[in-house]
Amino acid sequence: MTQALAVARYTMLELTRRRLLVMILAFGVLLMGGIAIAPHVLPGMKSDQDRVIAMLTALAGVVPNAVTLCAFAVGMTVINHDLDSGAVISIFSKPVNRASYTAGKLLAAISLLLMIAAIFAVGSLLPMDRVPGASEVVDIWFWFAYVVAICAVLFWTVRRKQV
Amino acid sequence: MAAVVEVRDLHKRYRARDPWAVQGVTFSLEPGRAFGLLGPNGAGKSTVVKAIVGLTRPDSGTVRLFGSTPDDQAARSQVGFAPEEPDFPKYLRADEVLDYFGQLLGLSATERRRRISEALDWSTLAGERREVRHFSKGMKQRLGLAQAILGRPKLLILDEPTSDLDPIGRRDVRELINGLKAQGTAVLLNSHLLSEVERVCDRVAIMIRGRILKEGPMEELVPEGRTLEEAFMALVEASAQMREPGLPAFIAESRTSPGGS
Repeated sequence: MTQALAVARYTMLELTRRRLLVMILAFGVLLMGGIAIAPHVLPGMKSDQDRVIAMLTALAGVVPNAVTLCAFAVGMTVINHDLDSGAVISIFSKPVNRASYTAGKLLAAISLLLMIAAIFAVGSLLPMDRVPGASEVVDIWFWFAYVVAICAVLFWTVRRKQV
Repeated sequence: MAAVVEVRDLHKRYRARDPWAVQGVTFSLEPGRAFGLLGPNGAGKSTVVKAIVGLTRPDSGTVRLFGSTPDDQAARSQVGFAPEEPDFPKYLRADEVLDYFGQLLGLSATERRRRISEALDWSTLAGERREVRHFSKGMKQRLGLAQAILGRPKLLILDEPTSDLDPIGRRDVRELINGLKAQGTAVLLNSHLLSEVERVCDRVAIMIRGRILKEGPMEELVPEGRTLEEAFMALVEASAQMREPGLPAFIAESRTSPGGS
């Protein structure tokens, strides 16, 4: 278990330093910023209902695609990097079994995707809070606190000070 | 004295239609001794090493590691392995790689802190803040050696440990091997640098095409007044496995053609 956690932690640390992942994430967040602003500045948005519909339609298009791209980036990197670089030889020369290694990699991939999904969720919820009536549909601030907590825990796990 | 590692009649080939990478290799290594595994490229040295560390499974024959098998994690935790062309998770820094491997070895946080600091100092990588992907070959080799000694191994396996090191690095590795031997650690050294092997090894085995051609104490293999390199070349030539020393065709042709200089 300890070994799986070590594999997971350092895999997550590596993934957070991957430029491709950071770029996809930044691009997704920027798009969501645009979605939040657009209904307020575009002509033809006569009522709050129009704005909510426009915002939800745009978010429904952007968020799944951005999350899918991130999932691809994470999935293709998580084990492949160790195999390609030959790092797996150094790792398996240590007393670690393949099951712990795989479990650690899987845990890292799932945790990071959870964090990415949480970031996009916050990005989606924040603009919704600006629309009157939206808070009656969903308790925005509860979910906001929830996803921030997930991000904070995962981020703390990865960035915990080195021994 | 009980052997640290015992290899008996090891056979391995990677695919059924391939020639044997290793066939019938047998040797053992005692604590506090250094064993050199020599041979030309493709001789099967790295395959033997991988079988000992448990990275590849033999087709037949046995490998005993501290009286157990290479699959036994307790036995493997007593082995330090510095692979040929070592590589590591490339977005991590040197201290992070060592902390990662220290955790895989099951070391406590206090112990890791102490040993990582020691290993970084020895490898001259202390204070290096760049990620491994920015390291030179020599720096990676030093990190490879640092992670190999992190677990205070009773068997240290070095696969071409000095190929990318400068003369100072080679001297450091020599001193490391001699120091570990004095502490009772067994060292298995796989190297092309015969002068290095000659300086640190007590026994050597010369491998060609998967077989051990000759094995014995250094003084037995290297007659008085000769070097290991001379003995090695004589043995390999005598086995008729080596081609004549030659030049690339375009140089040889220019020498023999009338217009050539």
